[in-house]
Amino acid sequence: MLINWFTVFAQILNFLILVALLRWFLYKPILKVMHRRQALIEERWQASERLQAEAQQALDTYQQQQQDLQQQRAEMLAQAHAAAAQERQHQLAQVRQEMSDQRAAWQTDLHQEQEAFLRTLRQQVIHQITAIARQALGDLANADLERQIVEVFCDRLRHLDPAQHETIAQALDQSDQPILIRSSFELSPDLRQQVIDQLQAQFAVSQPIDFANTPSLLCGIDLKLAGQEIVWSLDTYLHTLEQRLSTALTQEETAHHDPRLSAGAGRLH
Amino acid sequence: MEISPDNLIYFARSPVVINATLVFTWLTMIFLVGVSAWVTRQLLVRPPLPRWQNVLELVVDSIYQQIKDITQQDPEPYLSFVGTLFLFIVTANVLMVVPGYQTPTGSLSTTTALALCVFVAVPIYGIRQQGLGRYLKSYLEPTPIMLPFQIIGEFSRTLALAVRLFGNIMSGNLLAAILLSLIPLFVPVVMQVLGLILGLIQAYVFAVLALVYIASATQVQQQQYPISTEGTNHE
Repeated sequence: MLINWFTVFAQILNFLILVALLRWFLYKPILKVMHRRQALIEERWQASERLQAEAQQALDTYQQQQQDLQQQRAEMLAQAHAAAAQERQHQLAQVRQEMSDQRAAWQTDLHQEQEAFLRTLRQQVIHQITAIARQALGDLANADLERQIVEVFCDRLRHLDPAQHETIAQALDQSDQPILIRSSFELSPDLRQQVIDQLQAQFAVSQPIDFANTPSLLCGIDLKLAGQEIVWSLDTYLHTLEQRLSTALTQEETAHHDPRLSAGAGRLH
Repeated sequence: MEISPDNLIYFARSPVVINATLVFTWLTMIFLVGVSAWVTRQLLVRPPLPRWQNVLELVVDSIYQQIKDITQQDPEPYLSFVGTLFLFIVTANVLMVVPGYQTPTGSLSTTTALALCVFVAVPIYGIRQQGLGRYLKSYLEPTPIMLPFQIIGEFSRTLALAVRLFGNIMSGNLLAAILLSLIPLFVPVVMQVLGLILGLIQAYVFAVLALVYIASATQVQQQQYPISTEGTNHE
């Protein structure tokens, strides 16, 4: 008999005991550990996914910020460019204005210098001409220049046109102010008497007559009475010379007028 | 030459008979439980894992996955029974190479006991899974005419389980013994290696067949009332 029923019963019992023991010592602990490990892995997986999501969110935020910064940078650059262009225009305008002002000032200075030079020149020319004329008159007529001037003046009094004569006579009648005779040189007593005589002869003067020495008359003599004036002076002749000299100097100034300034202004663009 | 270790009796007082089958079964049990208790006394969740914990986890996980693949159900209720069947048979068969070891699976009493355990476990699992009425009703399907054949099938497959394991192991032992007497050198070693492979295969066959019987008893309900096959989170 191959089957021993006591052994069969004992083996069933043994097997059931073994099932219980292995369940207690093997399957439960191993499964428990494996389940815990699985839970741990899942927990870590979820944590890593959460971290990844957070990292992604941080990355998105960072990229958004970077984009905003680039946009701000571009805007600031554009503003800076615009401001720089505006400032450049402003500076250019200012420089142009300053140059224009300097040029105007320079031209004013030049003008003043020109006028001063002309004035000086005119005076020198007049003095020279007066000296030459005086010398010439002295040499030719054997009389000094003052006498000739006085004679010419007296001659002019004698040959006044009737309308002017009438006007002066009326003015002398209505006024009692002294008559003023100005000359560029000191009149000698006989010349003064000659003038007084001539005035008496022409207008029967009752007012006192004053004499004044006025160098600005430039070698001449004049009579002022009640708004009327009788003049003889080299100044009249010299005015023509002055105009011609002035014209000549103006042409010369135009010809040499500021080539460097124009070229300099032309470069500032 | 003894065909069965049952015949190697150490102690006998009727009706108690302490033979080699029982003694070597106890030794195998002590070995299995001792190794398990020694390894699982300090288990670690986080790596690095101790080497023997790795081995045991591999073994248990393999059985777990096998049960899950075959039954398509949560393996935990079946793990203790089927796993112990496999581990006991495979340990007994592997220890066969130890000189002097009398493998308990070479005893028809042991294989009959294991087959009877399966014979009882199948209706227990079936009834627990789908209830007594529905389980008994499964014998009448697809038609009540099949009832005698179903009952015969229950007994015959239990007998086949017992005899298959016993026959294979006993024949392996017998063949080795005969060859040892005929050609004492080399050939018995090869036969021992073959015996090891055969022992592993038979342990696998026994456990898988038991599992198939249990699964067939518990899957009737699922075919009629499909439920969620929500397994464990053990992937």
